[in-house]
Amino acid sequence: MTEALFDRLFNNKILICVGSGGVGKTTMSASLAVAAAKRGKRVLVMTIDPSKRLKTALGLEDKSESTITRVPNQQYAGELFALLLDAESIFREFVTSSSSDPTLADRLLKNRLYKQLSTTLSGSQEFTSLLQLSKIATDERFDLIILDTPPAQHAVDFLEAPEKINALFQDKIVRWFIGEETHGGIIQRMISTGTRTVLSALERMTGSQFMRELNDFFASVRSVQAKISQKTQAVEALLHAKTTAFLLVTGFDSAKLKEAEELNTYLRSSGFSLDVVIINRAFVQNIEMTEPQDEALASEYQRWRDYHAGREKLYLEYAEKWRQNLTVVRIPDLNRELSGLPSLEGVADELAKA
Amino acid sequence: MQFPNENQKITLVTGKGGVGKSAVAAALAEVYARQGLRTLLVELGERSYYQYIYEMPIRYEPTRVFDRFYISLWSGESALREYVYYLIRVRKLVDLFFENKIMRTFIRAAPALKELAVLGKITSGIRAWGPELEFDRIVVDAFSTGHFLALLQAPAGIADLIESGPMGEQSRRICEVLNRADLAQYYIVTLPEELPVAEAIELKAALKARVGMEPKLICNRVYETALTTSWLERYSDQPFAEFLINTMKAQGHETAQLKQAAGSFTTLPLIFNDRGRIVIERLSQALESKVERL
Repeated sequence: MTEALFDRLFNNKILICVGSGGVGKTTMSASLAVAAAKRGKRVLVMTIDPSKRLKTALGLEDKSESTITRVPNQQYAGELFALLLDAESIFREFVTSSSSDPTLADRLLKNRLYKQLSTTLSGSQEFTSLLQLSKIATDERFDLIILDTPPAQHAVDFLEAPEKINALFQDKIVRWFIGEETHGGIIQRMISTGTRTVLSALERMTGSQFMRELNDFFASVRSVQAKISQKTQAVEALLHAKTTAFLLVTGFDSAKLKEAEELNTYLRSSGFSLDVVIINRAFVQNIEMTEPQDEALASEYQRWRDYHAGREKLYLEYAEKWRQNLTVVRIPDLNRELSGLPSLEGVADELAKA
Repeated sequence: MQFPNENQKITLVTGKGGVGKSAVAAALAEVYARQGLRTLLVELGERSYYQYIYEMPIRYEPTRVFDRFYISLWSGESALREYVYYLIRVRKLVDLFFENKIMRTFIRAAPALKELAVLGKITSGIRAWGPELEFDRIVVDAFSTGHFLALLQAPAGIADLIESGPMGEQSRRICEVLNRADLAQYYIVTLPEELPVAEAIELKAALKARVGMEPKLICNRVYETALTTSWLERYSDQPFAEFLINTMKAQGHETAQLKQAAGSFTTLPLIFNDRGRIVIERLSQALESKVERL
């Protein structure tokens, strides 16, 4: 990455790292934050589910979640801060603080369907990380915020989450479920006949006990509805803002690259700004060594070199295609585990070299 | 309880993201198919990954890849739709149900419904509930660690929540199938690296607590060579030999950790190829002798 590219990237207000699970998004987000701090930025990295070592490196191990921490032992031109997100507690706090009625908020938090809603599968983790982001976005202590997105099967899940959650809380749905409809004209009456049919089908499927729980859920959801839809709009605006950029981190094999390509198309067509792709663990450093003299060693060398020649070809194939509208950066398989801030600096240096 | 079709078995494959879970699941499925079992490889979610590997469209209905080997993509919504149809049996009403704008939104985000529908579908062959699923073996490329545990939590949660009614009843049956070691088996895929090993060890305990049986471990991408580190030491002044020594030492350390914490595991070799289809084929050859029949 050239200094000009770093400049362009770090001049954004928000940088969001997306990618499917296990590609090294979390390490990459933290290393980018280090690179930005080195270049004079006051930067905050928001991370979800980091490894123990990364937590230690960022000085987050003893900190309660959702506290902004100045990363210890740093000597940068700028300043590095870190924040560990705890989706469940943020969501809970959001419900409590934005409810117009504390009794209803309490009822919602105790609802057993709500408990299922707050698991990782429902998108609430994604939603809360965006909630937190929009809350901090205006914080003047930071020039740049780097967001590491929650582990998801597909990177797209992250972008679709806010709307998904918002939809569930919409007034129309709530009114429909708790059967509060105006009985006015004929069209409305027809709608409620349809509603009754569908509801009775749902009841046949699930049973009356589930319906009661559902009814209770929607009745208590009402109190946070206004705030949720207001926040969703704010989040959407933030994601599409000119000063928000996306960065895609991907693994390296033919199928992963095809998947990344599709994601790029999706992001573009949805109006998000993506201009950098980082291919992680794309090659082994210094594999181009002199061929060993010993025969057994030489044949082993050949095996590794052929493998890497194949990967090189694959890389070039995609890099060429993507270069038309993207900057492609590749990072070697560093073959060492993270330990402390210096190793994040090491990855940051690799980024600069890449 | 006795289930109508206890000849069908389910294999669920999970692990940390990026460990090659999908490749291992596909390799397992290929092994079963070659052993003569009619096998369905299932991926979960709305977007297919195998379409890029097998270079064919993958949909809800099984796509035939080769003799006895089929792939399906099951999303929560499509499984739910099928479930509702099977229950209501009136096509018009089902359409009304799913075309209802509010119902659609609700289904997209509703807690637990889709997860329950997907697990219901996975266990439907054994329970003989719903459309026939004529396979000997269902291999599921399931979600990675956290999402997988959340998925398994859904029927247990619903079963606790709803004591009466069809949904509670279904949930209990689903749990029962998933907790029976003679009907379901779990594989955790990991790598000889620090983080995947640590996660696999934790996941193994968490899964055992949830389903009451020991998951099997597969350590993927283990570099295999006839050379030994002590032989390589002779050439340690050469960078390539040093690279190999470091690689072997690091992986030796991690596999020792895995063994100590989790007992036995199966290893799969690092395949020196980057084409998914070839990697899977070689992995399945390596698995051939190692996979015991359930």
